[in-house]
Amino acid sequence: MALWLILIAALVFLVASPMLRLVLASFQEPDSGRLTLANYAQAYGRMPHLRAILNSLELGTGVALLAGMFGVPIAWAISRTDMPAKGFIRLMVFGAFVIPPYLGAIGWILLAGPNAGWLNKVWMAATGAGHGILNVYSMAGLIVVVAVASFPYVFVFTNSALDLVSSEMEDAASILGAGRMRITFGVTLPLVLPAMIGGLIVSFLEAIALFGAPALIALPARFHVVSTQLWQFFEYPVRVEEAAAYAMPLLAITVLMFALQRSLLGRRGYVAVSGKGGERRMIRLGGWRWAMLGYALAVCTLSVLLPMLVLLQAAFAKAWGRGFALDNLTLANFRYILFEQTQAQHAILNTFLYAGASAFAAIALSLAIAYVVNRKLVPWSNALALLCMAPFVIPGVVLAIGFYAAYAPPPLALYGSAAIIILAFTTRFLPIAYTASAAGLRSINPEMEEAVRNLGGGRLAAIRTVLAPLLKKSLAGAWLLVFIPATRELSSAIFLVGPHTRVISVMLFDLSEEGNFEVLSALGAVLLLATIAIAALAFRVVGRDFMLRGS
Amino acid sequence: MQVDVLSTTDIGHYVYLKEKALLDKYVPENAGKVLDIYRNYDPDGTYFVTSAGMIAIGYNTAKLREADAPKNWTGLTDPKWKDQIALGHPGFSGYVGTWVLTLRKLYGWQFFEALARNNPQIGRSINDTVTMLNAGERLIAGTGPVGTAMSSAQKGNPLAMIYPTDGTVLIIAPSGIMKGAKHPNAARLFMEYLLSAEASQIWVDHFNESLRPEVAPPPGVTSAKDVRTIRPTADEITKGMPEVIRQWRDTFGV
Repeated sequence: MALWLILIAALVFLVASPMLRLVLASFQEPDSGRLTLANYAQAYGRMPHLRAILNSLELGTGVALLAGMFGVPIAWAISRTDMPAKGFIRLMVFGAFVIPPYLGAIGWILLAGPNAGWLNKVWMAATGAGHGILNVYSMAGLIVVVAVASFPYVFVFTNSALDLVSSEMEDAASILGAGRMRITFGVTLPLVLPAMIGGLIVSFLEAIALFGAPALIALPARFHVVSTQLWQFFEYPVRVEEAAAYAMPLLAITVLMFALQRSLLGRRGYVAVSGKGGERRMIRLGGWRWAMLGYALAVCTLSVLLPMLVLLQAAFAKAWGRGFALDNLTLANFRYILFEQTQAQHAILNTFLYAGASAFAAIALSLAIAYVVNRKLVPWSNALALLCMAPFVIPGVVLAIGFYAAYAPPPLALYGSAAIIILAFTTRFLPIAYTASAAGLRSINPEMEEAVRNLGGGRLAAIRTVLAPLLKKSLAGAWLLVFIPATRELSSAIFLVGPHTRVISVMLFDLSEEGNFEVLSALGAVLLLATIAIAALAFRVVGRDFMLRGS
Repeated sequence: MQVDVLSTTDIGHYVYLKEKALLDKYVPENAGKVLDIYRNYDPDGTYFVTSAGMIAIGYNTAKLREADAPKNWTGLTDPKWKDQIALGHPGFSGYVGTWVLTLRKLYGWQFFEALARNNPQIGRSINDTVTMLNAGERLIAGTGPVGTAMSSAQKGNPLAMIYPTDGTVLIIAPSGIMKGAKHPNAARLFMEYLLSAEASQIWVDHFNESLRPEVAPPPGVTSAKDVRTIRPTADEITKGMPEVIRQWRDTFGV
């Protein structure tokens, strides 16, 4: 019991402290600290500010829907069907996840810029048209750019959950006469609805909190979203209190999203992993498997292959503006980063160290909290769940300021240390870890733990011997879901890095501000390769799916 | 106090710090040896110009001939440049903010209203304009950072600068020693170094301005002392920056 209380205290410390400071700041006057409502009046009194909120909602909804359209079919195809080339598609999906959204945005600007985008140029050459058809500088363009970076969330959640569903219920439906489509839409997908919705919600929240990609695309498109609008509040003179007030509705949105998820799922049972054993068989699609592969490849082309092609061209180029030319090729950019620029070497090491540590911390904490909530070990457990979800909806910029205020000054004095970055990342990605843990836990029937306890084991024994192995793949997925965004996290890192704790994302950002795209692309390529290698290793370590009979 | 020497690109910071008595007075020997345009920004010797850059008009040489490019700032408002110009944003870039202040001083806000009619592409940093030119998205960098552009051109990108006849905007970036610095002697030595010929050679190798008369820019690169430069005063920067950012938002919508 004491263990649970300690964990709950840790959660309160990590999440509640910065957020309480934020809420308090929103009601305070800048210099005197007196309580006032003026910040809210100023933050919401102007039309442009309100329009930015609407734009963010539009962006979030569009991204969630598009990411769902990309992620769910691919997850289903990989988990339940005999589509070929699964390993390759999996690798591509991780590639999409590893590419930081603003790196993808830069690639897409080169591909779909209205005047000089490669795709537009190809169109103009092929059809003789006077101008291109794609314009990345638009809300639609931004939605696509963010969705191709976010759909892996939906994929991983849905895939992990589908992996745990045995075929017996599908068999039952089939025996009763249902066709393939009816089974899929009537039985299989509804069973993983919590995971799917979890993924959609995470995509939505990530989209509205992003800063890098909107800064690159929305500003030239002449519209603001909440994150770019918040940056304005941090211009000189800094208006932290107004920013805090402006950030409050985002918190309200989380509450709404959470309530939505609960009401949608209602009281239907989602237990699909019971103690009675079962196998998972692949559905034979026949000729349709090539159609599924085609769809998956199309998504991968949009999210990975096209942007990477463009960025690789820059990484190997002496001068990126000169395009493809044999005399434009060079390895100098890679040599510069890997051997000559000492800061880059430190940054690469730091990035993976901090990301790994945060991932472990986030998974451990969120699993514990999810267990407490799911099994209702304490009263008000739903408030804990809300605390776990809340950080994700605060834009990284604002969350970082909260951390800075809470942890940087004495008595902790953590500014410029590795600890503050790890703490910040852990808190920032707690919602993802929690959603994955909760979705995984929700699909496991408590009867197996009860069996352990009937035989004399305690709760911890039940978790160790039954729950953890069952959740292995879910947890591995969740670990990666925290590790990888942590390697590319920019908005909170940029406020907290010190001279000895620089990370790759901040370096990439600095390089983009300098316009040094050749070195930026080379560094991005290094990041991508290293992260994919680590991810492949992680999957190998986790082991095979225990339910798949035969192989 | 966590730092000994502070270097930024906004002279307004030093006006503020000097007011709050947070800067230490120290006049380096080298202070009298820099070019005239970089001397005497603070008669009390609490901060000195340690780096400088210029903003001119950049253009894509693969798509535009030098003869056709605009020759001065007002040329940017010519309707033939509609949809062709890239700019930075004063809210994100101190350089661009200073440029906006300077041109407002020269031509009033009507200049920007006319510029807005040409539908320029607005990025964040002043270096975003170089990116847009390299990508081929836009032809002209209305706020063209000379250092970044020439550095990019040296790598082979198709860029060149026009130094406007009504004046190239000069950005000066000061440094100062903080009061209570933990290493005051090292700080003073560093200030000396920043103003030395050796430091200027490093600046010049990276296409920034040289502060010393004896260090010349590489061939083909124009130096600030060879063109007509214009800039706002420290006072104008401190007072005017928030105002122009607001005006920019109203005119350009973002």
